[in-house]
Amino acid sequence: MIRDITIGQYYPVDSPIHRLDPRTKLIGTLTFIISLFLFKSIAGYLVATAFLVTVIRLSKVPFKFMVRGLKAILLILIIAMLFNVLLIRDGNVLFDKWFIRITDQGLYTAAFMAVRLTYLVIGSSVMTLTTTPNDLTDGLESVLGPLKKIHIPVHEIAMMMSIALRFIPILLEETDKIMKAQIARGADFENGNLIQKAKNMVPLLVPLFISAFRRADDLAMAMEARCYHGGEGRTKMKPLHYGKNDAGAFVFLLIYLAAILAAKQFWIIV
Amino acid sequence: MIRTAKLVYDYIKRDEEGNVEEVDRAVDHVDLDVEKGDFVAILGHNGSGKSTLAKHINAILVPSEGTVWIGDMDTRDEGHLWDIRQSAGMVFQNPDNQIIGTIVEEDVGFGPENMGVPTKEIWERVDESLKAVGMTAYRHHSPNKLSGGQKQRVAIAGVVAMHPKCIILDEPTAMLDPNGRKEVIRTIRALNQVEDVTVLLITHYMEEVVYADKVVVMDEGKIVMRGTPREIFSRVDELKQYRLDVPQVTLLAHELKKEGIPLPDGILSIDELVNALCQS
Amino acid sequence: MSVLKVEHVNYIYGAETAYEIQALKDVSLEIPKGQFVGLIGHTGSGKSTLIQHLNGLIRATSGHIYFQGQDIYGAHYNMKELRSQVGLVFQYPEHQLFEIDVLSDVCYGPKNQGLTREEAEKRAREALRMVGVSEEFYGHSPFELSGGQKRRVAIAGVLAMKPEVLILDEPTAGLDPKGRDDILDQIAKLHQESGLTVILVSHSMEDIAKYVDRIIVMNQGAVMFDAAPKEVFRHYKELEQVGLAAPQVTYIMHRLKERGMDVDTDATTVEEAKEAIVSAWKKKHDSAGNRCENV
Repeated sequence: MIRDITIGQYYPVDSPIHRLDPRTKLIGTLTFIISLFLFKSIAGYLVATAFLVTVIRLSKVPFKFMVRGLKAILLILIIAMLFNVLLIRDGNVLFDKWFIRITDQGLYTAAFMAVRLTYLVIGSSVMTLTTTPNDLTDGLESVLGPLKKIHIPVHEIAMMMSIALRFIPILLEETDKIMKAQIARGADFENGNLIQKAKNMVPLLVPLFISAFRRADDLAMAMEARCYHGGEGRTKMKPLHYGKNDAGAFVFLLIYLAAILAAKQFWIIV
Repeated sequence: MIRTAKLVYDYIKRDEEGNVEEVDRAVDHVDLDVEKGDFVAILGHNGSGKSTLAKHINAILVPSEGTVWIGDMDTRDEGHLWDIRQSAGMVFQNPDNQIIGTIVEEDVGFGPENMGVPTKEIWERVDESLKAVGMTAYRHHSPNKLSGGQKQRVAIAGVVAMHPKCIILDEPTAMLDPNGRKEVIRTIRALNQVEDVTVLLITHYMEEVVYADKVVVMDEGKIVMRGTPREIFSRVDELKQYRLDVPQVTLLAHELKKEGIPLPDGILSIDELVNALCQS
Repeated sequence: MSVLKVEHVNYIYGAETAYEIQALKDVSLEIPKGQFVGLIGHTGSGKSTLIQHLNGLIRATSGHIYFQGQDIYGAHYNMKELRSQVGLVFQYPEHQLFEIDVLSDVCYGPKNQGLTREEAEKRAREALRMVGVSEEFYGHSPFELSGGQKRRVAIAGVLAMKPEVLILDEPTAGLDPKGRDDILDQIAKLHQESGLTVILVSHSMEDIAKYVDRIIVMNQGAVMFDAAPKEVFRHYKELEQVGLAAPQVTYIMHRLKERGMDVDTDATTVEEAKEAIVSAWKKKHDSAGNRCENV
C-alpha cells in the first residue's frame, strides 16, 4: 500500500551515519549515485556493494527497512528489465522464437541496470532513513545555497519540502478515513474499468483536496502567527557544522572513488 | 496589555468585477481591556465573532473600524507587525495544522528561529518551554505519534518559547477528548499562575472558564455579557439564549433554586453545591 | 431477535510484526432491535475499531458477527448490502462531502445502492427532513453551510440509505453547546419515531446519561461494563481508574449521601437529581434538626 513508501521515513537510532552532517550525506549519496553510472563492470559493482554494505552496517538500520523502498519501484524495475532483455539484439543469441530474441548482451545490460536501480534506491533510502527530514532540508538548503545568487528561492523550496514531509503521513491517514467513510456510503474503489474507476475517485479526491487546502490555510496562518517571514534574518536551532566524523566520511568516500576507478582500470587491463 | 476600542470587522464578499456583494459584520463595536496577568475567557457559539476578534490581537486581521492596541502598539502599524506577533502568541484549534516541525523540539524552536534568536538561547528557550508544558520527555518524538492533548501542549510550548506577553488560545480544546481537554487547561492555568502570562481563552466549553478571572460572552459580534465566572453562571437562562450552557452542577443548583431551596447564585463546583445543600 | 450479534471477536493489527497490537479482545455483544446504545471508552480503547467491524469495514481476526441472524463472514454474504443496512457516520462526517449541492451529496449513498435518480432524490429529501435541514439549502453548495448544518447533511447522507442500525462516532465533536443539543435531540427523535437502532459513541457522559438505554464501556480492547446507565455509573470509581468519569450529577449524589443526606445515588441526569434532592430536602425539613454530618 501507499504506506510502504520509505522515502521520508526516518529510522531513529544512534549511529555514526546518523551523526554525520546532512551535507556530507547528501554529497555522499550523490557521489555514490553518479559512480553507479560511471562503470559497467563486475569489479566496479563489487566495490559499490562493499561500500553500500559497510554504510548500511554502520547505520544500524535493519536491512528490511532499506528494501521496503524497493517495493514502490518493483514494477518500474521489471518493465525496464523486460525492455532491455527484449530490445537489445546484439551479442550471442540465446533464445529466438517469434519476435522474441534474447541475447547475452541483453541479459547483461538488464542485470546491470537492475543492480544500478536497486542500489540507487537503497542508497537514497540510507540517506532518508538516517537523516531527519528537517536535517535533510537544512542540508539541501545549504548545499544549494549558491543558487540563491541566480534568484532561485532555495529557502522556500527547502521549507516546502519539510512541510510536505510533515504532512504526508497526515494526508495518508486522512485518505484512509475519507475512503472508509465513502465505502460506508456504498462507494466502490476497486471494480469497474479505468474510466469508471477514475469517476469513482471523485468522492475521495474532492474532500481530500478541500482538506489539504484548509490545512494549508491554517498552517500559513499559524506560521505567520509565529513570526515566519521567509529565510531572511532567521537563525538556526541546529546549525550545520562539519565534525571529525564528516572528515572521516569524506576520506572514506575518496577511498571508494579511488577503488572504483582502480577497478575500472584493472578491468580494462584484464 | 490588550485593548480594543470600538473594534469593527467586516467580511466583504465581492463579485467577479470587484463590486461589494455582501458585507458580513463579524465583530461589532467591541471594547475589551485585558490587564497584565489576567486570565480572560471569551465565550460564544460558533459564528459569534470570537475567533475573528482573536485574530485581531496578533494582527492576522486588522480592524475595519476602531483600534486594537497591544501594549502601546497599534496593530495597524506595519512597522510593529513582528513585535506584535511576538508579544501576542496564538494557539489554534486544530493541533495538526499548527505544528511545523517534524520533531517536537524543532517545532518549539520554530518561533525563536524566525525571530532571529541566537542558537544557544533558542536551546534554552526550547528547554524551558517544554518543561513549562510538561513535554520534555517527548522532545525527540514525532508530533504525529502524540495524542491530541499532547500536540496542543507542544503548540503552546512553541508559543511560550517566543516569550510572549500574552497568549491567545482559539478553541484549543474543541477537537480533544475529555482527558486531552483537562491536560491543556491545566497547562494554561499553570502558565497563567506560575509564569504570570496573560491568557485569553476562547472556548465554548463552560467547565473551562470556571478558573478565569473574567468572562466575556459574545453574540452576533457584540459583547453581550461580562463579569466573573460566578456572575456569568448565575444567569443560566440568559446564557441559554446565546446558545450556551452551564456545567451540570450550576444547572442543577439553578433548578433547585427554582424549586424553592435556598442556594447562593452561580454555584461553580460540586463542593460548593454539596456544602450549600447540607447547610440549608 | 437481535439485529447485531458479536461473538468472541478478536482483532489484531500488524499481526506478526514488532508492532502487533490486539485492538479487540474477545468482544461479545448482542444489540436488540430499536435499542439506543451508548458506547464509551477513552481514545484507543477499541471503540472505533469495534464500530468499523459492525459494518464490515474491518474484518475480525477471529470470531463471528451476525446481522439479522446472518453471518457477515459467510461465503456469499453481500458486504455492500450490510454497509447500507448498518449506517456508519464517522467523526467529522462533513469532511466527506464532495458534491456540488446538498441534495446531490445526500443522493450519493442511495445511488450507490442502485436506486434511480428519482428514487434517490426522494430518499434524500426524506433524510434531510429527518435531520432538520430546510429545503432552501438543498440547492446550496455543502461547503457554504455552517458547521452544524454540514454535519446534518453528512448524517442525512447515511440516513438516506435507510439503514436498520445507525452508528454515530462522536456526532457532536467540535459543535457549540446548542448545536450539540440540537443534533442529539434530533437523533433521539429519529430513534423514537422510526424505531431505528442507534449506537452512539461519545465522550460526554452527561450526553450519554441523558439519551441512551444501555451503555457499553470499552477498555483496552475489551468490554468492561455493559448495562443500563444507572448500573454502569455505580462503578464511577472504576471508570475513573480507566480515564473515564461519571456525569457530574453522579458525584454530587454520592457526596450528598456521604454527608448523610438521604438521596437516591442512581440519579444520572439533572432532572432525576433535582427530584431526588427536592424530595430529600423536603423530608429533612419536615423532620427538622436532621442536619448533615460534617465529614
